[in-house]
Amino acid sequence: MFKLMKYELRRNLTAIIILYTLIFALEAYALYSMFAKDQRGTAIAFVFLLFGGFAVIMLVFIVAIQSYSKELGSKYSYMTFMTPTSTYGIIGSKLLSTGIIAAFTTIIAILLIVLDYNIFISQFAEAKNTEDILTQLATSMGYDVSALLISVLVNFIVLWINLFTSICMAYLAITLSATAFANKKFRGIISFLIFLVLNYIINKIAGYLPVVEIGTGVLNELLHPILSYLLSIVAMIGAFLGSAILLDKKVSL
Amino acid sequence: MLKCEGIVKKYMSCTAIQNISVDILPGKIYALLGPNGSGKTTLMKIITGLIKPTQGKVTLDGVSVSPATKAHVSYMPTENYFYSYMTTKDIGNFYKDFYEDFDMNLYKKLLVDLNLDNSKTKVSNMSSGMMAKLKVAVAISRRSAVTLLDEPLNGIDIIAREKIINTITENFNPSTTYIISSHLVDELEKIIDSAIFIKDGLVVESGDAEALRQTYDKTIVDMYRQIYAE
Repeated sequence: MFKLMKYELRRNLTAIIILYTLIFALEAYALYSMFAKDQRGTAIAFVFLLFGGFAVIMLVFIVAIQSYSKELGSKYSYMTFMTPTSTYGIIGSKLLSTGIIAAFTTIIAILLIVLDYNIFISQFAEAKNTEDILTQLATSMGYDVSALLISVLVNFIVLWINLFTSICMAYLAITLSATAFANKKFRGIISFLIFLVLNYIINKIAGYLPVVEIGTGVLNELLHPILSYLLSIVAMIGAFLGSAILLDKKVSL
Repeated sequence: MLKCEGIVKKYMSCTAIQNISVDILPGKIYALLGPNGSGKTTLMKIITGLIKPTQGKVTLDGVSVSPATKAHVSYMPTENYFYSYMTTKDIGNFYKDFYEDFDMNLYKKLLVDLNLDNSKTKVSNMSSGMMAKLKVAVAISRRSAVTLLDEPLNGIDIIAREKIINTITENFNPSTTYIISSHLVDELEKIIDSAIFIKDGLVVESGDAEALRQTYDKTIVDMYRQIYAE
């Protein structure tokens, strides 16, 4: 499985390099604007960086799904499926390599946020005043800086859990279209509809789950929906196992 | 060694393989013969594990098709299947990574013999002839228990064909088995030990090549004409 990961990352390298180059170019522009004390330029760079961040997340999602869809829909799949690797290993390698990209993206994002925040505060006096006001406000509401940092981290984790659940659901939908619906017309559309239905069901079930009280303050707010996070993880594992079993028993390339 | 028992493969209303049972023995070169659409490729893909049969079972030394058998089965499909970013060097490394039986030295030698030794040429930039030679080179560079070559001589010039045929015979040993499908039956006739004739998803004749020649008093090429012209 780990050998497959190497080739999986290599296959997606070009798309990832292009997007990260764009992000780092925007970051360079943001740094230049901040050091030049150009408020307008800094604002523009931050807006684009925000969009860039979303673009990276979307790209991770698209690359992961496209890679699997291509694997089942083209003859490239022979390379992978002829290797002595189980179907669990094949899907696992795709998810793990996506996980590596996700972890790398998270680290880069947090580093850029911390870096830009500190430079921004040091370069713009008004921002420093605003920070002081916000810190006082947060403290009076019972929040502290460490809680906010935890909040950022938890939000990243929740974001990636949701993203990976969606990826696993997409894998299951694609696998179903390549197995149970392999001989049907419009199987691509069927696959997309299955994906929508699976996500709808998960969201519907999550809506019925009770909120849980854990701790106080920010932590409590973040962990309120812990049952829905757990549901996402269960759905992710279920979709992973379902896809691997279907591939093993039914798929014809 | 390799057993196919009651293999049936259906696609919607179409039956690619009706019912095939064959026993493949080690140390032999088999010709899998039949016209287009007779079920040769489907059978090979079922043995490789790329296609699941509707019914029946394939076993290699008693083990059903699985990752364990894939480690011992080398398959050359008719389609171009290498990742487009790969060069001949990348492909060699990929096979070395996944298959213990891959002989890198033999692969490098074949690349030179077949004029494919520019390791920087990407697969996506190769001509169909180069791709055909590369697929054969990769498949026969594995010293696997079973090697399946689906139309290995298609699109390959006569000199390269001879090199490929020679490589197969030179590297052949009693523990390996080759199953080769080809329309170029006369090219295969010289090297095969056994022949399996498939028609409409059924085995219509099979056996030791020499015994078949004696029984029918014909060459394998003439038998092919007789069976499929009917």
